[in-house]
Amino acid sequence: MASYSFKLTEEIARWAFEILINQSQEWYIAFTNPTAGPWKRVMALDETGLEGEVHRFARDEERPDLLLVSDKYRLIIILEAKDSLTKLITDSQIEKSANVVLSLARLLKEKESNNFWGKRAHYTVVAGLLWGAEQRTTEKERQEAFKAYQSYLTNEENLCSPILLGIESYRDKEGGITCTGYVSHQGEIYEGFTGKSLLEALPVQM
Amino acid sequence: MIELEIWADSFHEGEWCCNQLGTIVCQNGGTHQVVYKNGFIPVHTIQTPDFNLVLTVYGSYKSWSPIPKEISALLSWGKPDFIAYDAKAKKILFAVEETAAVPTGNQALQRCERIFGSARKKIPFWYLLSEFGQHKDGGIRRDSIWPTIMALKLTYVNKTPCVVLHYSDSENPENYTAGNGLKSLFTSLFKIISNYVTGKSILHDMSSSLKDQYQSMLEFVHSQWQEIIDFLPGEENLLSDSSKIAQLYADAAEGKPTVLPENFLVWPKVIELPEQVAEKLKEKELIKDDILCRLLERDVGQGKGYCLSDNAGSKPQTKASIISWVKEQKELFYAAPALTPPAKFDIDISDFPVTKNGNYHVTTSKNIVYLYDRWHDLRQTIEEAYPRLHGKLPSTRDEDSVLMYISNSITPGRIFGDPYTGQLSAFATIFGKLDHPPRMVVAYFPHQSHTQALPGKRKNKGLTLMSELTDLLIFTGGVAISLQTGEVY
Repeated sequence: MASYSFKLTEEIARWAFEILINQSQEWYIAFTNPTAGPWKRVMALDETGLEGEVHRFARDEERPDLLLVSDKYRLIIILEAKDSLTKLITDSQIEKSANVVLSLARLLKEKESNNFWGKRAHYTVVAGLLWGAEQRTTEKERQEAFKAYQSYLTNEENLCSPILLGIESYRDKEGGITCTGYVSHQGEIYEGFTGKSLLEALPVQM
Repeated sequence: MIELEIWADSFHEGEWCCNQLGTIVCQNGGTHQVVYKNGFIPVHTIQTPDFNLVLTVYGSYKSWSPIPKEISALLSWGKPDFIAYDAKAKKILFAVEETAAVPTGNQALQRCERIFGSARKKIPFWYLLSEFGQHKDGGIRRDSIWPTIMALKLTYVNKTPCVVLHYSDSENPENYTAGNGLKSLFTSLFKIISNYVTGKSILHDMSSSLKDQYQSMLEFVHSQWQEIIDFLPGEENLLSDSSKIAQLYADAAEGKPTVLPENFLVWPKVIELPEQVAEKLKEKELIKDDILCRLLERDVGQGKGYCLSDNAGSKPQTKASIISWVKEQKELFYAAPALTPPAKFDIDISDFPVTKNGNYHVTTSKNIVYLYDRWHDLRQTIEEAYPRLHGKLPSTRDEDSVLMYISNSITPGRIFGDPYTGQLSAFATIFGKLDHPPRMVVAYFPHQSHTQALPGKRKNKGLTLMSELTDLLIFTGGVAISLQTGEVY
């Protein structure tokens, strides 16, 4: 096998996490945002297990990088991804990403009549950040990022949980990538389900 | 164990390719497994009764170093979605472009430079796209004929498979599993891999499937051309001899000497146009005035050239955008030493007609393609529009026919990217750049400054394509550049 080195791009950081989700029995990817292909729609399974379209993004509509659903935990996670945490916390990026989360959360809450979405319209939405890291980020850096996003995501509509998720795709010295999960705080996402519960429910390191 | 690499624009596309191949293997009694090296690199192991194979996916081209030279050279012509590569032999087996985009407007042509790049390098190429798409207005649209005609012409010229396959149907628009395209694509790709790893010629025993694919392309063109254009050269052959012609294309794809029916898909001179088409040729109004476009329309009225339709849409832009772009173009225009005779930048926001909602039209002519019988006539028209070029443009090919392509884009640099490079490569190929004798190709950019294409500029995809496919570029202020000779007029 030929040997190539790689840059930890957003694509690779996101893809490493997608592999873990795809191997999980409890989560599925309803939407991902690679450059092209048959993936530009929000898709979900109806009660008979048939997959169908929930939403089709318009050509100029802002899209999230990843949308995860868990029917077991009655959760939706909308993730924005970049190749580093630093790139996620510029002012313009925070506003753009937060607006994507809010508009998609609003849209999905209005999809109850869609056969492929149905009761998921009532699931709790969690906003998430996913980044690549050549060096582990610190707790302080992560909390600053969470705090910056919370100020944009909090509004009267209560579209998403006040608890934010962070996924760090860390590249080790041998070129392996591992995904570690963090939450902004350990409070309840809904009754009986905490930030810690979320991390335990995801196929990531804690 | 044979090892091949799948290089892809994203991991999804590379993984999708391997999974589709794996499905075929499993349906035929083989096995398919995947592991993720380093937690993210898909390594697919395929076992069949005849061979064992490992496919490793390298997603997101720009993430990797070093990119194999052969892959890098192909990418400079535009990035296919995935490429099969033998690193040991340094050989590309095939390249594929696929799209889920609704095939309307610019979308239909914006990936065509990738078709051209692969065909030019004699790399078997398949383009999988939706035949039926749902437009944002809710209506159903059908694919354009141009990518298919381009692929037919490239097959014939380059003696390499260059195939457009469609998925979906009118009941299931944009559905990959509807129609035959998806299955046909991966059956072909698996056959190529199978031939390669077992030491056969890569197109061994593919004549029948290639014929079927070309037949479906010809049938698609036959059923759709009247929705796009007023006439199609060789249309009568499509009706009567499509099976025979499909075999000719399959033979050409396999490198066999073939001769198509005379003038099949060769665009004629004005005098050879069907009577009902010739009768309709007349000068038409522009949306936004432009001195050269006005004269092109005059020439059509005088029978010096013709257009195939007049349905170029206008996508008005905001006042703020126009002001910003005009300013940037002006700065670009004067960023190089003055020319002799001097050229003047005279684009002004007042030139752009205002729409009802306060935006501005940038579209000049409703046609973006004019086919002239003689370069002599177009040359004189260009010189009339821009007197500074009088007597300067080369006249050695005065009797050659010419394609005049127009891009009205005003955004700096945009003409070197999507969708314009795709349009230009498609139209140049379709309308005769590679025919014998070849048609000249002139591109006109009424709102772009010449300094972006001056010799010595760093190469990009657009300049690479224009260097190969155009004979002359005309920019705002009547500055002309030949990228082939480096002359600036």
